Amino acid sequence: MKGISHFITGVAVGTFFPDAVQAAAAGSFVLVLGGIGGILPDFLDFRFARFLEEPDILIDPHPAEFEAQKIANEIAAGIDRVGETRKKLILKCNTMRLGPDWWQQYSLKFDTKNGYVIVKLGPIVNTSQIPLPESERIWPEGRAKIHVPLLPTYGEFTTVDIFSGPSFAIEWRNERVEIDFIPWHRQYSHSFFMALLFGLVCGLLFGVTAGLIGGLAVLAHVLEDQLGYLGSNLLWPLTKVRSTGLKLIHATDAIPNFFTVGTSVYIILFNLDRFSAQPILDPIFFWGVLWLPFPIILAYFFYNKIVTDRAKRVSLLEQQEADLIAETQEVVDA
Amino acid sequence: MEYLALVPYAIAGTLLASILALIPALHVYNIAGIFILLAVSAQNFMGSNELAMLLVGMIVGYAMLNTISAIFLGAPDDSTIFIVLPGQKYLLMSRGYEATVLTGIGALGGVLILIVLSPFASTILGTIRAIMLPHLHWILGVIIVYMLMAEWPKGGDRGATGLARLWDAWKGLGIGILTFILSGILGIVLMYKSPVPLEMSFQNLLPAFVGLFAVPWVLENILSGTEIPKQHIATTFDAPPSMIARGIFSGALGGLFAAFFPVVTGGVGGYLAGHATAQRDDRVFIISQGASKFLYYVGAFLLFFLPAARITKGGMAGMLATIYTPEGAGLYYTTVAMIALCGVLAFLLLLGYARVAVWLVQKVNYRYISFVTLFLLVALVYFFTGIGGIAIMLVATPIGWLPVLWGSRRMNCLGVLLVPITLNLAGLGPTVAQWLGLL
Repeated sequence: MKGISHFITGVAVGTFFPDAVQAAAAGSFVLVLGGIGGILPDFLDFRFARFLEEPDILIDPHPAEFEAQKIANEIAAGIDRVGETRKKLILKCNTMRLGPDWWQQYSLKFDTKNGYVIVKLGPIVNTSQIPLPESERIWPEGRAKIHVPLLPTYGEFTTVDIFSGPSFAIEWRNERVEIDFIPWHRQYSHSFFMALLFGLVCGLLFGVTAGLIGGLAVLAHVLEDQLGYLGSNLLWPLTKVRSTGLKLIHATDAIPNFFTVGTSVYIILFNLDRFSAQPILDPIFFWGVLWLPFPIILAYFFYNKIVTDRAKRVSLLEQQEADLIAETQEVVDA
Repeated sequence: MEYLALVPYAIAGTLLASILALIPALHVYNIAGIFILLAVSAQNFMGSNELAMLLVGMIVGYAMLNTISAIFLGAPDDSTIFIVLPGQKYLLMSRGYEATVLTGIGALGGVLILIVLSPFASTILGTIRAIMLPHLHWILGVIIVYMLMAEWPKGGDRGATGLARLWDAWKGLGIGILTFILSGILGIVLMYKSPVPLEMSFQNLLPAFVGLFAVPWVLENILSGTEIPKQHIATTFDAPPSMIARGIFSGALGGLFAAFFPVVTGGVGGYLAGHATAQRDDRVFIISQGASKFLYYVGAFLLFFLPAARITKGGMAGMLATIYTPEGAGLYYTTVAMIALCGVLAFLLLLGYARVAVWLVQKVNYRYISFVTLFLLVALVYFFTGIGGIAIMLVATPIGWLPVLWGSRRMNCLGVLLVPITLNLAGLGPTVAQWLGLL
C-alpha cells in the first residue's frame, strides 16, 4: 500500500484507545506515534536499508559510452556464477544523470523462458519521467544467454532512469536461479519483531498506551502489506524469506488505497466523537449511510479484478516482483 | 431582486482580481485588507453585502488566475508552489498554455463541487468541526510528521561504502528537515516579534512568503539563464474525461480539507489528496492542484456565509469578519451563484491572459522578465511592509533557497505556518517563544 494509507491507518489504530483520545483533546501529541509507527517500516527500508546494501555486481554505465551488450554479458555472467557456486549475489544498476533535471534511461529484462538478459538504451527523461522528444537514439540492444535454469520472474522491461536505480538478489533456490527484485525491502523492518521493538521503545519513553499505539501501528502496516502479492519477512530473524501475500491487491492500486485512507478517516472521526464528553454522531447513519460509498467502490474494484485476472493469467512471482517495482516507483513519485 | 443588484460588484471584483493576480506575489489578501480598511471609512458609498460580493468576486478571480504568474513568471506563493514545478516543465516543453488551461479546468471542477455540496455543507461541516475542534493541534502534528517522513531520498547511488551512500542520500533529506525547522523558527518570530509595522500587521506573512517561495525561484531562473522555447497554443488538451474527473476528485478532497482545516494550504491539501487517491500522472496532478487551490481559497470564504455554522477560515474571511456578519440562507445561495458566475468569467479571462503570457515569454528575454519580476517582488514587499518586511524577506530567501540548491522539497518552507500554529493550538507557543527569547 502507499505510504499515506499505512500512515493514516496507524493514526486510526491509535484512536481506539480512549485514554489516548482524551489526552489528545487535552493537548497531547500521543496519537502522532500511530502515524510514525504506520510509516516506519517503509521509512527504514527506503531511507536506510537500500543504501546499506553492498552490491556484488555494480552496473554503472556512462551515457556517452553505453554498451548494452557489455552490460548484458556482465549480468548474465553473474547469474551463471550463482548457478555454479550456489552463492547469492546482489546486482545493482545505477542511474545515468545528465543534468539537474535530465536522466538517460535504460532498461533491462530477464527473459526467463528463453534464458536471456536483454538490455537496451531508452530516451532521455526528466525527473517526472517524461521523455525528451526525439531523444531516443538508435542503439544496438544487448542480449546475453544465461546457461543456468531460471525461476520465472517479472517478465517486462525494468527501466532504470531517475534518482536511485533498482537492485536484484540473484539466488540459488529449488535447483534454479531466482532473481529477486529489490531484496532490501520488506525484511526486518516489516516483521513482528519490529512491531514489538517500536512498541517497547514508545512504551519506555511515553507510557503503556503509547507503546501499544506504536507497536500496533507497525503491526497494522505489516498486516496491510500481507494483502498484496508479496508479503513480508514476518518472523525475522527466525526466517530469511518474504512470505506470499493474500494476493488481493497491488500496492499502488488506487481504489484499495482510497478505501483505506477514507475508512481510516471515518474511524478517526468516529472514535474522536465516541470518546468525547458529548458524542454527536449516530453510528447507524454514520456507518450505514455515510460510509457506504467506500465498500461499494471496493466491491466494484474486486469485481473488475476477478474479470481481469481471469482474462490474463500472470505467474505469482511475476506479480510479486511487479508489486515491488510499483512500490519503488511510488517512492520516486513522492 | 435585492440580490441581483450584487452581481455587478462580484463581476467588478473578478475583473479587478484578474489584474492583481498577474502581478507576481501580490496576494488578493493584500489588496482585500486595504479595501476593508477603506470600506470602514466609506460605508456610505458601498453597503456591507456589496463589499462582501466584491470580495467574493476578487477571491474567485484570484484563485483562478494566480496560476499565470506561477507558471509563466515562476513566482509562486504558498498555494501555487506545487504548480510551479510541473507548470514550468510544461513551459519548457512548449506547453505552458496547456498547463494553465488544465489548472483552469480543475478550478471549474471546483466550482461544480461547491455548487453540489452547498446544500449539505452546513450540517456536515458543523458536525465535523464540533468533533475536531479540541484535536486540531495533533492533527497538524500528524500532517507535519507525514510531510517530513514521506520525503524520500534522491541520491545515494554513488559511494564506495554503505555509509557513504547513506550520507549522499541523507544530505537532501537533512536539508529538508533543516528548511522546515528554520522556516518554523521564522514563523514563531513573526508571530511574537514581527518587525512589520502594527498598522500593516495583516500583511505580516507577505514578506516571508515572497522570500521563501517566490524570490528563490525567480533567482534560479535568472542564474540558470532559463530559455523558454516557442510555445504552442493548443486548441485541444491532452486529457480524457476520466483523467479530468480523477484530477478534480482528488483536488476536491484536498481543497475542501484545506478550506476547512486551519493552516493547511491548498497545495498541501492537494498533495495529501494526491497521495490518498494514488494519482501519478502530471496532468492529473495539475488539474487536481487547480481544483484544490480554487476550493481552498473560495471554499474557505464560502464557509463564512454558511447560515447555521458560520466558519471563519482564511485571511479574507478573517478580515471581513471584523466589520461584517452575513445573514440568511438567501445571501449564502447568492454567494454560491456569484461564485459560479465569476468562476466562468475568470476561466474565460484565464484563456485570454494565458495567451498574453505566452506572447510575453516568447517576445521578451526570460531573464529580463525574471529581473522585472524580482523588482516587483521587492517593491511590493517594501510598499506593504516597509524596511521591516524587506528584512524578513532577506532572512526568508536563503531558507527558501536551501531546497532549491539541494533538491529537497520546497513544501518544507510551510513550516513558517505549520510550526507556530501547531504550537499555539497545543498551548506550547508562548513557552517556545520564551525559549527563543521572544517574550
